[in-house]
Amino acid sequence: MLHLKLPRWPGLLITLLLFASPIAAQQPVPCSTSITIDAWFNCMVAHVAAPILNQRENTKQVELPSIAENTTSLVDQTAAPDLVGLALNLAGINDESNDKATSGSITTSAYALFAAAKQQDPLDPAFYSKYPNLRRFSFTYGQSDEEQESRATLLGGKILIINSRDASRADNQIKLANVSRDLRAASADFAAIALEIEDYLYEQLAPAGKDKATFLNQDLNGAQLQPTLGRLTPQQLEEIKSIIARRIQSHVALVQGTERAYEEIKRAPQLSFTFQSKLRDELGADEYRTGLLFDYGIYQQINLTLSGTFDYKNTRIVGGDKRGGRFAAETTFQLTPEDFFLGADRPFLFSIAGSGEWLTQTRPQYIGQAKFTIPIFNGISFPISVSVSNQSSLIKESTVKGRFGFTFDLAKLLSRPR
Amino acid sequence: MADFGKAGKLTIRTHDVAVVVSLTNREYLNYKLTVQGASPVFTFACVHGPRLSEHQFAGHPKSLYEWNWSRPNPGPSGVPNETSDASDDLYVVSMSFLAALKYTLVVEHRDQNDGLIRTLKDIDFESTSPKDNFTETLRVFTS
Repeated sequence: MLHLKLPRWPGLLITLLLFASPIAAQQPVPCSTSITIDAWFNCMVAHVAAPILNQRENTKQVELPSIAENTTSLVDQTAAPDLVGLALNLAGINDESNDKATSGSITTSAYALFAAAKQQDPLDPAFYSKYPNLRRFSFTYGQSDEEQESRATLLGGKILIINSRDASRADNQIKLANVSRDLRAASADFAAIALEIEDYLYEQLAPAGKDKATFLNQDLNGAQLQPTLGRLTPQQLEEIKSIIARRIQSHVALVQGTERAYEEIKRAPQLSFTFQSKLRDELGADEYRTGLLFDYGIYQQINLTLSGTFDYKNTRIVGGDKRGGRFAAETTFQLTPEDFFLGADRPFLFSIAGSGEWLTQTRPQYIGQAKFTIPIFNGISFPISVSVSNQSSLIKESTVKGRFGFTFDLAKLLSRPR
Repeated sequence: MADFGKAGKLTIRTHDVAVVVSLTNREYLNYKLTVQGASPVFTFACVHGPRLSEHQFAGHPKSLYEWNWSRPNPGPSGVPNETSDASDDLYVVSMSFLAALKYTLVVEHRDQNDGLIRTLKDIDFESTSPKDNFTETLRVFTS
């Protein structure tokens, strides 16, 4: 007589037996949304390389925040957008009901203006590399409505004295040449990978009698691509991954070399001379600020900005002018990867800043600010800030002020993928 | 969701995976790569090794890079002419977005009179992420 010893939880065992095989077969197919066989190749190579890259990188991303909120691409610049950027500060959120300032400004560079005057594409590499010094000069024009002051006109400019982050610089071209070297090695291996995989797919999936060129153009293209790849078994997918893994090292080197070049260029220091003015009509006081601004990526995800300026307030009251110095420092931390939120190509940023202002006929003013910048979509950011000062400009008591707004980078909006 | 990398976008007007080029009939391929950005970084290669890179073109950096493959007679000056080294080969154009925003690749299959037989590739590759790269392939059989 045959005795069968059943497990203590037969129901659980039966459930596992019923669902185990389908679950094993339902492992997500990598790169199933690729729209061309080449996109699929690129995706599969990245998929195979990912564990190797993650193993070698103990830290997180090595991208760096920039001084401005609109620069992750090396084609853009920190001083001002290559084209026209629009910053719109909406009404501030604060505990003073009478503070309802609204302002808008436009910033452009001499390079952008020159390209427009010459009717040249500012993103033509030949034109871009020919006039790097024009990108050192940027100009700002805007309007500000302040309830307790009359309407003010904002005029300003900035000159990049040290512009170490321009991609067209000779030292940065050397870094690009290193990436080019890595790309050459990776491209030959990629070609070998793609050829071997195409032959494998032909052997495994092609209908009898169909020649290879026809199979590649019909079954691995267009609407037939994913249905054809969908017929691959897990074992066949593993064989394809093995084909890639045998030649993956050059791709790993390319990714690491690209990251290294990007980090070195974005961390390079920048020193600029700035002049900003707020011109008021009627009884308002004009304000002027001029000085130096220094920006430096001190370590991976941390960026430091220092500024020292001379401030002058020209009032209509005889003997009422104020002048003095101001020093400010800001540290910016990158909190997330660049593509963390809604596909935006920049990260969440958190910055803390402090400034001190010492003017004649005025008590010293100290301001601390915390700012959180949320990327929304490519080219659009949403900064929210909270400031604390030891005194407001009108009353001698501490104030807390909040502000939010939107920033638009037209260059990034126009160049973003459609 | 990106078509490739972190922020890559493909705009496809024509896309063939393979082509049969009759060298005996003096057919050839013409490549045109148009670039937008600061400084393009790209390579044209086959399974046997890299063939052309951006710095090998006169006038680099520029907006248009053109080269031929197996053109039977000399073409315009400044346009390289690469040769075939196998009857069954795979050619790639690898592009880095480290200092470029957009590449447009057009590959044409032409006859001995420079007449167009077929446009094989007409694709825009765009990315605002400097760390993205993309490789476009073309399997070439010769007869």
